Amino acid sequence: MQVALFGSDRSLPLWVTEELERMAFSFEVVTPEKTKALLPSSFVVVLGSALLTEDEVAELALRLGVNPLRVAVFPYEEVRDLPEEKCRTLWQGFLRSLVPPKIDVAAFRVTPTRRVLLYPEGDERLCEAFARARIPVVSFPSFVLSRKGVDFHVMPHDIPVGACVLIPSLQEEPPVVLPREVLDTGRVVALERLPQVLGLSSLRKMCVVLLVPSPHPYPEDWERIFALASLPPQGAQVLVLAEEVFVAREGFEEAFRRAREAGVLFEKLPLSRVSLSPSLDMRRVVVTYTPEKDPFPVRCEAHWLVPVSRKTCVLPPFDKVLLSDREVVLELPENPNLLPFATNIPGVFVAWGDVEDLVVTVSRYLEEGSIQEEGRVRVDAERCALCLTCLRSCPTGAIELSGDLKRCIAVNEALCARCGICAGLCPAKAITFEVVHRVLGNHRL
Amino acid sequence: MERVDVLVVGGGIAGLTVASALQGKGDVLLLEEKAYLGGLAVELSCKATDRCLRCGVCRATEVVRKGRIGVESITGESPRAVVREKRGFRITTDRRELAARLIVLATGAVPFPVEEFPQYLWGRRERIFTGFELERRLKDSNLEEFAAFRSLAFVQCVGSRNARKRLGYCSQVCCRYALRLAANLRFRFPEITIDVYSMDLQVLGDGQEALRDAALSVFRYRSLPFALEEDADGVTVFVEVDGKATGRRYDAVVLSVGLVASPGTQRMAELFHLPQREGGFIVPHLWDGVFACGTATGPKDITSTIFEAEKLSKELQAFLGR
Repeated sequence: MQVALFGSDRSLPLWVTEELERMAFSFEVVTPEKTKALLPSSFVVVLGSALLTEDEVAELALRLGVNPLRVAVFPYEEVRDLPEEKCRTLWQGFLRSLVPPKIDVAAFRVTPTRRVLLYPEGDERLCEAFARARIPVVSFPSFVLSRKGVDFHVMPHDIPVGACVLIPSLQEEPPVVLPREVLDTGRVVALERLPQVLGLSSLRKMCVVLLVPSPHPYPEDWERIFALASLPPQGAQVLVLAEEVFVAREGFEEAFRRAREAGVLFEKLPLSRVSLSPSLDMRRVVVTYTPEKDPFPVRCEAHWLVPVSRKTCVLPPFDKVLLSDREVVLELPENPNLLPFATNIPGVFVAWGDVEDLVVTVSRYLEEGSIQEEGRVRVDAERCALCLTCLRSCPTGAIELSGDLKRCIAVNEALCARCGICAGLCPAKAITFEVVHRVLGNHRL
Repeated sequence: MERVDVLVVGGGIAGLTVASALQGKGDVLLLEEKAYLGGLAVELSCKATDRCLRCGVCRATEVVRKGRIGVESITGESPRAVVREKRGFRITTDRRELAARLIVLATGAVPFPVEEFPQYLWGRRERIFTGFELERRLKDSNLEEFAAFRSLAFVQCVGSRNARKRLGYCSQVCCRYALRLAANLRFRFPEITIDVYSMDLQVLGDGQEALRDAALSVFRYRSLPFALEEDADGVTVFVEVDGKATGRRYDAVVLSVGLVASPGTQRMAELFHLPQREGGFIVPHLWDGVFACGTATGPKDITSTIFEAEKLSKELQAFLGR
């Protein structure tokens, strides 16, 4: 039999080659770039780490063009530091366990339809970014999604889409509860409107106080705050009350320094130390605060008060939209293996953060696609009740207890003869012979 | 002489992401100076407590693992001389000659060398750690001595936001790793009290909620100490309070060091005649075939490094298609 050794390490120790020769295997070393001319009957042994996942092995099989069941992983990286005798025994045992599988599994790559559903409708920037990446977008006011293979189908219209992007809406809440009397002065403006308001005002020097909640990691808002320094000199005296100033971005430290040099005052203190009241003539807001460093309260009269709002993202109601054979609950990434935009449902993304990053993530998902393997046996871990009917009925002894945390049976596909007895007898209908999709990349839970 | 389409210099997560994304789109070769792939990110440790703090180290590990089996690489060599040709570059490394059409510099960053702050290193150096040293200890689970500590101080902005040392930028990672380390230490050793000396905490990006909780569990002082002195049973932190110098005692101190350009990045900047910013980070010209990504262009966390590398590989695909 022929064995192709795949590993990044080019110099192999003696025990690898000697044992192979002794067991009458002919072998060759395959490197990542040399992927052609493998005999269909050859085994591929990956000299990798025990941490290689099933999906990575499947991807490798696809790249090398061999039956995925003929690819085996030897935990070489973990083993090679052991004494040589130990390595030799482990390697011998591993080589003996290589059994030629009875099934041929056809593996090929499928990519989702290059079309994205936005729910609800996306704004201009998002649509433009998708247009630049040449991904058509669609959106509908009401629909139901159902999964077919790697695609979603938008149901009453029956349009295939490759991915779905959920657009959260921003809910703004002010940093402090503003007293009613302060609102009555009419001197409270939003940050976006501040340059217009100041531009309209007379040449008199104005005092503007900004209240920034902590933490406030919205770079657009901070850009506006730092840009207040470049207002015309008669414009305003600006005082920024914030607990933390956001500088962790390219060029922000420089902008912060320039703003301070230009006369914008930054006072770092918790906003609970600030009290607000209207002035007697109801045309200004009196801001009183105690700085962190000294005990004397400071009082200033603000012509304009700008509460910079904290924003929270609210997801659109998605659970009523997705149609599948069993209940799927949308979960947001608590699992860090997911990309920041991904959810537990492969192909469903949430549009927070940078638009460009999102488009890169989605287009990567659409291009990478998934590996479709036809002829695999699939065990549904949630349905399997461990009744072991299959174990008793299997004629070839291919059923194994996988022993992982989910506690379901596993099918050793090297031994399985695809007779279908277990699938027929399983009371929970947990074993199915079907097409398996392996979604590539980090787009899965 | 070997001919490739894209030569990636640097085998950290940025370089590996670019090289894996370009697999099958053209000939890609990766050069790494050290003997192993992975760069700075493989030295970091997962900082999860009973919940995930989203430090991104596991994503970096996954990138490295994929890169190790999927990317053609040469380790132990780095470019020594470059000649510009009509269509590309001829590069002489330690042992061979290469010709490449496009070059990606992903030579990365290193922690700020704390020796440049001698005022923080008075006395012996057994109870003063840098953040990266603590990460390495956490990774090797070598934290026995911390069980005896009752009080701990984190000093932020060591080597960042310091215009006098020509490092007037925020390193973007130190506040977050400090808070994650603090949360992890408090989870392991609940009796420990942690103080943080900082200018402002830059809590942003992934896992803000968890970091906010961590920030509430520590005591924060808004001033940086001007000196640290270590003796047999603790460290004295000298800090200015109300205009007077005060000394506070701690069992150990962690210095949250920032990121500066690695020696490799500095060398590449000279080799390719690229302009440099504060901290030695390079600014690539976009027009002549030399690209840069990752922490070579500025301090970044793992997630944004991977994103930048993916964006760059999109651009490179367009170049290769031409």
